[in-house]
Amino acid sequence: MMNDCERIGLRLDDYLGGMLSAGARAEVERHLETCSACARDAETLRRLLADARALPRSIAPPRDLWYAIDARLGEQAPARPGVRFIRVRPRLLAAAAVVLVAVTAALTMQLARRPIQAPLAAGPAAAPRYAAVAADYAAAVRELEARFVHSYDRLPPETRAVVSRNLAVIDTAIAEARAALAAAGPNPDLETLLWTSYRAKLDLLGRATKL
Amino acid sequence: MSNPALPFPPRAFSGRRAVPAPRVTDTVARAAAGDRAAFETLYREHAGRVYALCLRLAGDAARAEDYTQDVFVRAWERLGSFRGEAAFSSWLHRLAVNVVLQDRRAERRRLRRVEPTDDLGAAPARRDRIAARLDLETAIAALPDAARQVFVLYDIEGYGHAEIGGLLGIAEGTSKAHLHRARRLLREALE
Amino acid sequence: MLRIALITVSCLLVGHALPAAGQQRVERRLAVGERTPIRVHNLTGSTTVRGWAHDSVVLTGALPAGATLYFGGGAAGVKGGVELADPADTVPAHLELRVPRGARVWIKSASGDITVEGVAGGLDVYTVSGRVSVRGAAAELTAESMDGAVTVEAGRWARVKTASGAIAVTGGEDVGVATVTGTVTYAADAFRRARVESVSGDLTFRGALPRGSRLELESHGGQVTVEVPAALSAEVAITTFQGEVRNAFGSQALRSLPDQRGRALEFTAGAGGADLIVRTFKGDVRILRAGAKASR
Repeated sequence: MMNDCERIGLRLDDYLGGMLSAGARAEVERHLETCSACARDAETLRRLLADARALPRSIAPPRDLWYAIDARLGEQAPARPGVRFIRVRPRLLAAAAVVLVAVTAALTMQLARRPIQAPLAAGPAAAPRYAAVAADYAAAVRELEARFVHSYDRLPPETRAVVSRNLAVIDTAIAEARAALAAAGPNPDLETLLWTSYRAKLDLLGRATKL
Repeated sequence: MSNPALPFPPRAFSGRRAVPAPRVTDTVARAAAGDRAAFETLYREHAGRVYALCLRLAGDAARAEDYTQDVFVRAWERLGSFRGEAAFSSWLHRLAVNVVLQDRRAERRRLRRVEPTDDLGAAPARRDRIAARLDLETAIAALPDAARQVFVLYDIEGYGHAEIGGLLGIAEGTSKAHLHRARRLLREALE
Repeated sequence: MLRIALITVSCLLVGHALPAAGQQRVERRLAVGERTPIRVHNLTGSTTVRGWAHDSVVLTGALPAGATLYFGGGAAGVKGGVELADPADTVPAHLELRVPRGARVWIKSASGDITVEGVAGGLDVYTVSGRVSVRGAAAELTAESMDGAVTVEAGRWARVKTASGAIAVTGGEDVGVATVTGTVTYAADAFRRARVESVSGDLTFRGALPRGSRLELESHGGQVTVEVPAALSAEVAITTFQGEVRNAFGSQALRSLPDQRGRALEFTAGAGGADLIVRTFKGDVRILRAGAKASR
């Protein structure tokens, strides 16, 4: 047979959700006043729900997914090993057929004039994308660095040394890749290397901050 | 060979340029007409929201990236059917929920994956920003599938049990039971 | 943070506190389910976990003077941890656990070594300076150390990270490995997708690329070595900016890409059917035939 605490425990969800009748609510409240264990459960649950509601609604993807998405939007695959577009082609053909029938001549002309984009090749579109992603990473790094400063003193000296040494290596790599990008202009391979170094930095800072 | 730049037919804009419905922004309208730059803008604007949702529903950073891609690819394909009854963000949100929940073969699909560069589940690095938040996020990710999905939809996203029941194909009471279980497991995990 | 978490956990655990009196042996048993999640905190000592064919957890160990063991739970989950009398205490506690093979095990340490054998469910291990060794592939594995060496047998899905610790991974289907300055050796012949990256650590792959697989090796400054059988069948794409490339598969020359975009070497070995992608900034790249002697 269920005891009072078990019965109240089952009703805490509805109680905190404001879904109990006045009578049932009063009963739960009476119990919570006299039972410290259930009162603590209710408080933990209340805090959990508040924390859940306070979670950020937006989390930036850890890397720029646009490349991969762009490549799947019905483009012809560029001749590059390792990148396949298996899933899109049949739909692409179907879509093209429908478009030919349905879309007005004006729109068709407008579309036809647009350059064919090669998603993994450097192009005019790459520069703003690079800038946006680089800014995004730089901002994330700054944010973590600010937090890391506070936790740095608490780290054991040997851990501090490991983190510092590795951060220095990453910073050098980032600087080299950025300099090369500045000299050479848009370059997806170089960008990929740069993002990898940025991710390494974010990851290391994140882990060091958590220690 | 057909012109690879041709998009799916923008139904809302067949023929001459239609007057956009009040909630179809110019960017959405341009994207629906096949403008990739506009669609990229939409991606930049909404990627964080979609990724967060996918991450929590899937409980797995690598899968969340797959799902985020799928959501935007599907959004591109279906933009023509977006008529502006709801805000684009709500439409995309619903699409994301469907994409994740309908995928019942996440494991096989992960192995089938042939997309370009993947990272190593770097999401935690970004999630690490606030340690307390990380604990909760980690605990949510560790929940059993159904419990996690119901918790995310109900307690984070604000869906009702009836709606969740419809999305997951379960009874309203089952949704409540999953929620109860999720909350209990989370409390235990965070204690 | 760890300590706070540990103390919080300790307040709520069902368990038995040991009296503080010298090095003591401890032993605890719990009946659990075959997939029960198990969490273990042991900051300064070694932790060894072995999977077995029983639905129970047995913990044995030796604790330093003043340390307290907390251990409790049941089928829904087990948590255990060692709380040191003085947080600055570095005398190690040694814990050994037997857990159901299908359990999902989570272990956190600071300086302690972590050894796991035969846990098939799932495994998450985190240490700062300790070494990690995993044998008997867990279906899903996450292993991280800051500067300890990590050696794992990967199961279906594995992610391994260090800052400067050396990494050795074998097997796996979907494998991701990342380090900053550590070296990585990845040996596999039945994977489907693997990505290995470093900032300056050297990367080595040994094994074969199965049909349909994809292997990516990326390093800013580390040397990348790929040692594969002469019968390699893959699309190979190598890009480097300042590194040198040595390729034992064919005589294709490294060509300069326009607009100072670096140099690339792309070719199909055998019938293709798998993808090998190597990208470095200044690290050298060597694609070698297994068995042939490397000249450098």
